[in-house]
Amino acid sequence: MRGERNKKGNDRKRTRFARNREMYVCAALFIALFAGLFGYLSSYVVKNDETLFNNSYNSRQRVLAQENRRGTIYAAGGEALARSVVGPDGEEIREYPYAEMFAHVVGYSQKGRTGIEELENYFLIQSDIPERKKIDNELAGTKNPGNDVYTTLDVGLQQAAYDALGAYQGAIVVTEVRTGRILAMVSKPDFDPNQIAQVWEQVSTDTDNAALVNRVTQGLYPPGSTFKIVTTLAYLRQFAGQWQNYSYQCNGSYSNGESKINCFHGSVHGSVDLGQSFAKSCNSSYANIGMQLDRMGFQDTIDSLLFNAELPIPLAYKKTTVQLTKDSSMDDVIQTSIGQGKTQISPMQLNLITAAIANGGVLMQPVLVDGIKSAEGKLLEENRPVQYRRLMTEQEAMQLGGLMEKVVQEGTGRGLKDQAYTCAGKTGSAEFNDEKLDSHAWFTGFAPVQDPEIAVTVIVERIGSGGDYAVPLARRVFDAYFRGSLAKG
Amino acid sequence: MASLFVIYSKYLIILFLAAFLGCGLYGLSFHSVREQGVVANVECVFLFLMQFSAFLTIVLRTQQMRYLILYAFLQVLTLALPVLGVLLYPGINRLLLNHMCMLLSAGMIILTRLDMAKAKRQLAIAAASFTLGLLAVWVMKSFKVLKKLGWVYMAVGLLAIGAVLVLGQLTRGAKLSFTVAGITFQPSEFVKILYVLFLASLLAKDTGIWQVVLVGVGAAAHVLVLVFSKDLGSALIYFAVYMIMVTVACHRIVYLLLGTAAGAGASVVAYRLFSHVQVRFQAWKDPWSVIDDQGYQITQSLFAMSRGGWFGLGIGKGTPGDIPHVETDFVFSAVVEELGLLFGIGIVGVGIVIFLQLIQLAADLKDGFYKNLAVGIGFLYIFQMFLTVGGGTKFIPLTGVTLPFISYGGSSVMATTLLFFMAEGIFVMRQEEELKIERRKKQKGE
Repeated sequence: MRGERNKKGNDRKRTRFARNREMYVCAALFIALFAGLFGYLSSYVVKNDETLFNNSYNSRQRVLAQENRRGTIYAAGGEALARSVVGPDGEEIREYPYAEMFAHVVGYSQKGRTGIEELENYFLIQSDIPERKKIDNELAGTKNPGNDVYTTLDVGLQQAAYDALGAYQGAIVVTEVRTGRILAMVSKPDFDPNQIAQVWEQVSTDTDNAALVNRVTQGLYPPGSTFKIVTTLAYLRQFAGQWQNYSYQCNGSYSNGESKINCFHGSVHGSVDLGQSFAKSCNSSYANIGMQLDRMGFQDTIDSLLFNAELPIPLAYKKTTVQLTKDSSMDDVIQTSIGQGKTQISPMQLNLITAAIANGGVLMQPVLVDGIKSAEGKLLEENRPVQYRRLMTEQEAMQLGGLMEKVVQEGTGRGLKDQAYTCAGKTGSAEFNDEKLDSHAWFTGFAPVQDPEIAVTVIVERIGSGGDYAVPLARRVFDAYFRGSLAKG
Repeated sequence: MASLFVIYSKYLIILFLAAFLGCGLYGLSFHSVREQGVVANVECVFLFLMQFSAFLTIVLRTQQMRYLILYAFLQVLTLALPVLGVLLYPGINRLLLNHMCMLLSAGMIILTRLDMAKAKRQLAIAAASFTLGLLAVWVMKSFKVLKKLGWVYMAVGLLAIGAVLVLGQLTRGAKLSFTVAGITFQPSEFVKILYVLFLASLLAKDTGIWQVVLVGVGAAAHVLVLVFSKDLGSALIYFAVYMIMVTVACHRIVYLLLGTAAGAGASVVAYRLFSHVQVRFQAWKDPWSVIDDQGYQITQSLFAMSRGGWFGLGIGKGTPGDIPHVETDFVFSAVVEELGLLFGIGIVGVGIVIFLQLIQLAADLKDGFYKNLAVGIGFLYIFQMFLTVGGGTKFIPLTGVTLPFISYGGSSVMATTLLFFMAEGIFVMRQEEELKIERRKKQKGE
């Protein structure tokens, strides 16, 4: 009897379902749609929090600016690089104690935002002090202190680089090769961020000087002979085991059909092997090397060194492009091999390649900020060194490093020979104007050779050869670093 | 103490809503209205706690007592509705009443903060709507002739939206409303009621292919008028409701597939034909590239939601006023900004519970007309909610329909109230039916 009734109940249930099957299907569809909507909302809102926050169309920043006082940006040594103070009329003023020295890397926060002011705006403008204290401040009518940014920048090194560049136009960047920390970043001409509102009209319209441009990351220059690092790597890869036998007779120029190039200032280098070609920066020999390279393989090597790609750097930058195809003209290949022609590079990218060579082929993720803390010292974010990517094998890095050492020992980088530290590098004199024999002076290198610590890249615009003009500047930066580290040690 | 309350009230509000929603979900397990008493009472407690914390926060933050009056009215209204409802109709579904009150309260909280004058109007309209609604229950159970008026509903409805097309005033490029004696009506909201009645009535009579086609012509006439009025959101809703009601009434899932395909085809045609459809689509696909222009509203909505995050900035702490027409089209974003994404999801959850209640109701019914009606009301509501919330959050292209009860809009509140009270009428009738059967059983037993 009882089982009978149960069966009946089940039947009724089943028929109830059967009667309404279509309705349940439609209802289930809507429930699924809403589930998708909720999932989308949760991930979208939370994931894009920081991007949406930094959008200038979002009023959140204006609201927070009234509640909070923008946080301080500190150098690695604890010096304030940017801080908010209350002016005589009670208004908040952003103060940059080092004025022009950190103008590009620290940036400014009026008239738009640049540099670290832009990079860490999200944290600077917010205050992570306890809610209770915020309410107290609200009642007292005072602003909450914003979060503070602790950068990797070294005031002593920045000062040295800034002084070294002097009145020249150009850029210097220094990174720690084992951690990716950026220690100094100087770009000239510069401006005083304290005066940005007053000088804005002038600096933003003066395209000749382009003082607002951070040349380290946004300046694109022909790499000149520094690109021979890339060409050499391609050669090492394609002629592994044979490159030691390379030899070329340089008579000051190289021609192939209608293409003809000269060695810098018409030098004649005589019989050279690969090391000597690199050390003496023999254009003719490198044109010869370029012609021996498989073009697609050459392009692969170029691509592996972050050309035609996004750079892993936190600041605004310009992407570089080098394009070789099977159909590239002979002239294009030759020009590319010696870093002339259409090839362009930023000082930052060259520095990253150099740092990877110094670090056994591994590029560390470049960082400008060690960490972020609330005004009460609570750690909110920390950047520990992480590998970005291996750019080349350890062996390739060692071979390139050895060649770069030779540049300093017996080649164009002799200005760095016999210092208290050992150094390796590559010079470049990038001709940017066909009519005049004008060139940008490049140097990129690292020290010490045995156990590399820092990579330094220098460019001086429109001045002459790298060996004559960039190397002495690099030396002053290396000097400052090792003097400093000796003093510390 | 007061300051502490202001900080933590946003968590309390979410907590009370969550508890309320929990009760609502639990309430779904009761088959009969008579078993709901306790859950309904507990729900009421959480509803009042939420209202109280929210308005206390507003008063503490603004130091203005005038908000208290509004709060008092809301409290009285949401208390009077279930009391009156049960007195008049013992079989009324109290949980459904509570859920309506919760949606209205959430809308009132955000509207009070956005625009006090509009909040007052909304509350007055809600009070009027509830009164009419209680009347509608009586109409529903007293006039069985309602079942038979099929084509009459259609004629009246078409006439109303047709009149708007010819005589109506433009609202942001669409012909939506006209004004009589200082009161602006949006007839397409009210015609929804007639439209659902029209479909329910005719599909109850016959579900043969000719009937489906014939009814389809009537439905298509509605949709076309709305398309020409540039009220694309409503057109889409009308279309979807026809499709789903036919599918359910005819027991043929193939209609849903055919309808969806036809809808997709119609969308492509609409995209080709109308520039305002292209604009909407563009603003959905990549609002960032047109942020100064067509993308402004939707990007401001995204900013608002991102500002709010999970727990919201707290009532009065955000800047939802940045979104143009926030109180009608983007009220959900304002809710998320100040009360938090969790609260927003919770409120939509309450809407889904209402939908499920209507589905349960429909599943139990044998009478074709009432069953169709419950189905129509349920899907009309859930689809409209999906269009607004999805559109305002860039999940789907924006169509510009209101979020019933929460958005500011008298016509929308009143029409939705009436629809829900029609469902209440069905609940009441079912309850009376059950009582009758029981009584008969008892007599037999004796």
